[in-house]
Amino acid sequence: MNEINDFKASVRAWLEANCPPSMRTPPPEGEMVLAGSRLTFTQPDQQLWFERMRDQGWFAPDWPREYGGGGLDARQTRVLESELARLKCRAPMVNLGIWMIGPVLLEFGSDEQKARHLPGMARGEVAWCQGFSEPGAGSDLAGLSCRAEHDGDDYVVNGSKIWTSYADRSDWMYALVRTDPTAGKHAGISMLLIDMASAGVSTRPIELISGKSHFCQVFFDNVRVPVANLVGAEGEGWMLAKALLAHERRAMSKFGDNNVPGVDFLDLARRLVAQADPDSRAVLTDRVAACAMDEHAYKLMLERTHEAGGAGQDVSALVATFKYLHSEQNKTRYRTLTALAGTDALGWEGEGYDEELLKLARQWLNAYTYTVAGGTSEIQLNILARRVLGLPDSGG
Amino acid sequence: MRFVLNEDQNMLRESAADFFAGRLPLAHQRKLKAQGLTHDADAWREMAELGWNAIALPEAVGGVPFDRSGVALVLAEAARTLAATPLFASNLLAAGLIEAAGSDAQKRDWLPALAAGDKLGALALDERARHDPTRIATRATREADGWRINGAKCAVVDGEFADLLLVVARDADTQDTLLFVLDAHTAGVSCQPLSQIDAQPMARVRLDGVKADEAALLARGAAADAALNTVLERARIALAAQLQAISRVLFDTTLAYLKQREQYGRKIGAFQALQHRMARLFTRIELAESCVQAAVAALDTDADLALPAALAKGMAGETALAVADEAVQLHGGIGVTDELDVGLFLKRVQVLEALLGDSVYQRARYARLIGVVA
Repeated sequence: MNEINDFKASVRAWLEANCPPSMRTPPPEGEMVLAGSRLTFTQPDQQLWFERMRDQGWFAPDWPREYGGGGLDARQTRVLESELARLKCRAPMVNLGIWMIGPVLLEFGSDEQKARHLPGMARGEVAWCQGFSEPGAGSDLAGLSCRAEHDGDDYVVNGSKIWTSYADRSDWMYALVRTDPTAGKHAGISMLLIDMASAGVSTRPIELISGKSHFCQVFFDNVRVPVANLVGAEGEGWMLAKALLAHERRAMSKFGDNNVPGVDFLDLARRLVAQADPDSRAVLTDRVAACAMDEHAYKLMLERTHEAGGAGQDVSALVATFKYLHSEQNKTRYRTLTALAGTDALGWEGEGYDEELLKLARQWLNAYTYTVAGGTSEIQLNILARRVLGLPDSGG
Repeated sequence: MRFVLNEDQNMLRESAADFFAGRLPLAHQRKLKAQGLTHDADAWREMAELGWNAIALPEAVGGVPFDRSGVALVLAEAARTLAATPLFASNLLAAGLIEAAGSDAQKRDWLPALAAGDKLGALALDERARHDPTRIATRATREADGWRINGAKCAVVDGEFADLLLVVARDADTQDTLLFVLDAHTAGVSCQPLSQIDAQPMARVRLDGVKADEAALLARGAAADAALNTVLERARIALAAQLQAISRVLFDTTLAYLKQREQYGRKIGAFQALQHRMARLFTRIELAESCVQAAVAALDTDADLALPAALAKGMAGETALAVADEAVQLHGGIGVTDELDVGLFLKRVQVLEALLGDSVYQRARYARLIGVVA
């Protein structure tokens, strides 16, 4: 007990001394640092924070030291995370390597893969992207068709991946590919590590209804990938993807809301309701109150989940509602603000519009992305109905 | 801990669940109704003997030193079998007001009998179909030796057999709020029992030139308003807990039906259209549950109850209405028959929803509390 308390005190002291005050606020849009070979910083504090955390090995605090991690045990890692949260420290970077594929390689990767890839991830030197969705495989991910044909010491990859975040700035991709078209839908899938600098890889950024985005489409035209880059065995891709998505949920919960800057809903709503014509005001007030109550209830539910989970209760049913509720509530909130702001909410860019309302328009449009990405709302409801409520799987 | 019950709370809840399942199961409510009864007087006696009428009242007047959340926990268990109890009107409202607003002498005079369950109390507040504690037309006129009260009250829960009536009036001269505690058998007090959709006790009360002496005045002006507000917030939280308990029962019942009922050669729960409706309801229920738990926990603190109460009753009410509607609809034909219990819960939900401000009222209040409207 004393040992962990000492550790906590030393972590707290280190963070107090080393996390610059400017890194203790949510980052404004476009100010997230992306791990990778093309690392750039928009201000000196960012770089300082990045380098100090890197040198502590705290990008990947619970990884073994031999792979560049911090070598902390599970309890120490939790202490570090809670201290980071307490001080409201920003995540020093976005790093899908550490959050997603890293833990999978630690568990399932070959010694060679671990030695080659993990240290770079842990130092934030390599940017990783995720190649899962395809134009023809969205919600039904297992229907993917990107083909990897065995040819000598290589696989030859042909096909396309879509909704790949930051693909155009990534050094490597972990991808699900079809290695055996004759095997079952799930059994024919494998996981490959693909060097994005390989000949035949091209990327195209996707413009969304909200404007520029970090999403890309990636094309593979006879891309040669060494067989040594296969994770696990052929046909294990689906199992690995499921293991990886479990890390995604953990990563999202770690770095989630804290990092999303938004307009202040209530502040803006109060201002706009007061400006509305008297007849509309009552209806608008009702909508605002409904949004605020939903948000309030959601926050209480998070607190309840935390408390009940800590007391040893099974909170998996509650957790299964989060993605659906959060993304849907978000959309309704922005929809309500957009209505409140009338024609002032219609600005796309430039002069003549209030800056906060310009941001609102983009965030409203961006909110549509989140009820789709990461499992659509309909998929979330399927999961709730089948896994939580135990209703029969009708295959939809 | 706001969201995890302590050992005492768990024990009380379990013993309440046992009591209602064993002594007042839903089938028993059907029998009472068939006999034209709104409640089981013997069972009410037994509840008093269990000490429930005395929860959170001062020990000096026979109270039981259990946190006030206990009343909400017992009421929620009662709601699961649709059992009527004296706790809402007698403990939370009547005794609560005397405790909050009365002098030491008034507490000594009235509370021991309420705590013991020897007497029952009720609150005569609302005068309009939609709850509005600010619009009180009942007037009390000062006379040489006390007050003369005239007015008409609706929605008096347990009014028909209350021994004590807590009456909210206005001073005819100053318009100050006045809180009276009256013997229900005083001349000029008349009570009209109502036959309500849920078959639970409800009455209208008339006050025609009712004489009250100074000892009957609990509080006036700001003190009366503050005491009334506090007690109403507690009662709203208890109503929210009951609504939430019914949402659970109806949801579980409906889910079980979807897993059992077959049409087109398969369980109707396999249809995605129904699955998504149930999954959405589930998310609403868990949101409401979080609000209700937070509000019930707030009953045991000194926190201002207005916001948690408005949130809890608003969310729990709206959710329970939605769950009840879906429960009837998804049961299909059997859902609209009196034979199925679902309809009984639907009616009770509508009653609980309407009492002390429906979900629209709570939402409007919430908007004011967070400053959306000035």
